Amino acid sequence: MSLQPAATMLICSVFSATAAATEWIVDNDHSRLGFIATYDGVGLEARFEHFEARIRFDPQHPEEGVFDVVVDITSVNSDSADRDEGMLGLEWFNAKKFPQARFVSTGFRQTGAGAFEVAGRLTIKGITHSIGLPFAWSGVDNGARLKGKTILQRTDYKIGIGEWESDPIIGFEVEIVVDLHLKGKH
Amino acid sequence: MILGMFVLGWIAVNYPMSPTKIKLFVWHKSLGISILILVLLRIAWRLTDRTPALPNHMRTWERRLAHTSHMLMYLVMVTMPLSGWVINSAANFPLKLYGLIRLPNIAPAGKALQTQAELVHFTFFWILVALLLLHIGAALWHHFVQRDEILTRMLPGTTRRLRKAAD
Repeated sequence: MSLQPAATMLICSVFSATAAATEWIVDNDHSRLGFIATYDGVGLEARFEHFEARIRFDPQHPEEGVFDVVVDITSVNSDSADRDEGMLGLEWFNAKKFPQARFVSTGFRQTGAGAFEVAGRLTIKGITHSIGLPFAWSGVDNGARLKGKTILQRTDYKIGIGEWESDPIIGFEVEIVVDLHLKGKH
Repeated sequence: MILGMFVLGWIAVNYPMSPTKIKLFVWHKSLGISILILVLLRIAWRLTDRTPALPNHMRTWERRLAHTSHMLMYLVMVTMPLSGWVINSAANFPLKLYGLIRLPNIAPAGKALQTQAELVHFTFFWILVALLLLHIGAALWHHFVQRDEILTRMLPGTTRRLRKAAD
């Protein structure tokens, strides 16, 4: 365990000049980017219908990876028209002023077989924090699948202000769920 | 309980979006499901138990009106919580009884269904208000104008005495 990453790093640094990380295209029909919040302690799922993801990643050379994901906040869908409208409001996402969220990777590391973690800067509502997103990478016929999740504190991004800031009826912890089906770009 | 539901429901609907509004609705939903359970028990009781006979002096139309309004009250008391449950399901909100017992959704998520169920909930609310006024008005009329035992026999402990007297 202790030797392998070091060995991988060494091999990678030797070959990095020649091995370009693979560029991937998101298969939007089968991919999901969203979150699970809680309402009165019960999980509520929501997803973003529109997002643009630039994914460069080669599991053999994770350190060369680049993730740049721009999310259209207004495309939020939690199967409840009223709630979706509410989420875009001033107290929550304030989508009029901040229609987009963005994640830009700053580094990658391998944590196990097919398991990686990307560190990056996540900006929501104009507020940026460094986060880590552990993910599993698997090759599937002619493509790849990226599955990851991480937990954020909504209050870090001022999502839910006023009374919502201190009231746990809408839970403070929000799980980010990413499941991308990717096709190779040629 | 039903009066409490009127008040809670009315305040919750008109309250600005806030944690308090959610909590008012959580209480409204918990009480609503409790009433549904109690009403179903009451209907089972009513179907299996002997109902005290109406006073002899009542005319046919009075009997019919009393019977119909009672049946309608049961119908409304079942429809109110059920339509509320459909609204909650169609709006895709979780339902947890008193913050403890998780109940499933009974309808698919969808705005059109939500709007229809809201219309039913709202219409039946007013029907229930009318029925209750009729019910209370009739009970008072029986007591003060007809001077019969209709109102007093609704009180606990009087049924047995009345039944004994009738035997």
